[in-house]
Amino acid sequence: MKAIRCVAGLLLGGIFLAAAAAKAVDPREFALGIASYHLVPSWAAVWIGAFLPGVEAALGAALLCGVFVRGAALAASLLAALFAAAVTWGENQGLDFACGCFGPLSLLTQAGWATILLDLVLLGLGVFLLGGAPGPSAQAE
Amino acid sequence: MARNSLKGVFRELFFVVLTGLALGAAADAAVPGGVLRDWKTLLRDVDVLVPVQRLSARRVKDLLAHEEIVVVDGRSVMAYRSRHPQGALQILFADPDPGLMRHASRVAGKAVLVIAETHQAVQARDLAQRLVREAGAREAATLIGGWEGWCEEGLPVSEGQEGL
Repeated sequence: MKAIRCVAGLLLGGIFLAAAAAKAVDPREFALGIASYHLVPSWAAVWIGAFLPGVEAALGAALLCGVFVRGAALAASLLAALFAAAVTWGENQGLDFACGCFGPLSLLTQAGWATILLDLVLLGLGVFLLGGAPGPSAQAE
Repeated sequence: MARNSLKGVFRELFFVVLTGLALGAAADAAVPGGVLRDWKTLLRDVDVLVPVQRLSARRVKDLLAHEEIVVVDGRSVMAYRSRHPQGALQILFADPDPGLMRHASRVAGKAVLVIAETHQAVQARDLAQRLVREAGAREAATLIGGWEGWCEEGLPVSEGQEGL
């Protein structure tokens, strides 16, 4: 079970870290991608574009290093649920938009049901890690 | 015990998010196209974005039968001359400015459908945006499946250079 948790952590952390790196290359394009959902106000798209890659990088690094695992897993689960909801909304609206998941890697970022499936897999991994043993900070209490 | 554990998870979450925000600000400052340095310009660009719909070929068939819709083909000149949607205007993805200027009067106030090859989805979306913003189209859409979808549905096609 410990090995499975370790693999799940590496996988989830690796994916979030890769996504963060791809977005951080061109944060402006990422912000425009968020705006193309027409789901949040313009100012929010700009600020999300600036800060979300950092949050993804931090939680990815935490999962890869095995520190603050449950906090990072909770953050990953919340983000994955949010991404899945946003893409589902865009699909239902019949919008033509790029998901922006992996920045300019356009072949991977065409929004659609495959994107939603990937988000649900990430959500599953996050919830699985969240259900494990408390991290060092919780054990200290 | 459970409450302490839950508190621990939220404390970890707080640290991760806080670290992430600091990391985000640092990364944004480090890259050339950083958002925070010139956020007002970006805000202006975001403000003018319009929703682009994605239509199925079947829906387009209905629209062509019942409503006036202008079809714009963004593929290459060679591809256009070979075969294109009947009555389609040509505005090249590779060099859209001349086409936008030439056809602005035919697009203004109309619903516009942009046709592309399947690998040109991003260019199709960008041109659809520009047709609304710069040429005054009422609304713009792209076609699911692009040019292939158009042909598969048996929608009308022409040859030659009627809309160049």
